[in-house]
Amino acid sequence: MPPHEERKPGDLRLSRDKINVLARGVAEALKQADEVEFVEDPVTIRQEVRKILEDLLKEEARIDMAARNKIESQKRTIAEGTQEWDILYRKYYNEEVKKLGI
Amino acid sequence: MIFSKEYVGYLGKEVTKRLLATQMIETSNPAATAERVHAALLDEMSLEDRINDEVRNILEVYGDEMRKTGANYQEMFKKVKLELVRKYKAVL
Repeated sequence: MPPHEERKPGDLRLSRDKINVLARGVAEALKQADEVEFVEDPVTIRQEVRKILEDLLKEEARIDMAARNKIESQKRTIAEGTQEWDILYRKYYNEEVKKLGI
Repeated sequence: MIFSKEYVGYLGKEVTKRLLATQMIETSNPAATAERVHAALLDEMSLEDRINDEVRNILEVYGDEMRKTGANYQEMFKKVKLELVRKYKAVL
């Protein structure tokens, strides 16, 4: 998400440009790796890495949304940006992340 | 960095796993490959942190001058950061 644009809940936390750069970096790292052999051509692999990253980041956006919704569902209003919100967000976010087995 | 190192490690493992599952690549050492992918992701994702650190170091050198001229730290931070982003052709 470009810095000047306000991020809405559910949006990916990285811009498309950043995902492209990450995919390029991963493809380059794989190309340099002695233990790796490319079955497909480098362009196809880079595109596939981008697609995988987008899928994973959509999953992360759902985790982010789930944590935010849990805070919203509290009986009293907890304003985003407060220390209490940050603590709760981290707690709920980490609970969701644990389900991924990290 | 907006994601934890553990999460970036997870991304590295998943990207490798899925590339192998779709037979895009083959590897004789999946763990080593996942670690390479993790390192590549971490390097790019921590770029903004490194740029921020460099901006702080630059502003520290010019701290006295800034105080004398009454320059606003946050504005100077943004300007210097923009210059470094252009210099490194960074995508944040």
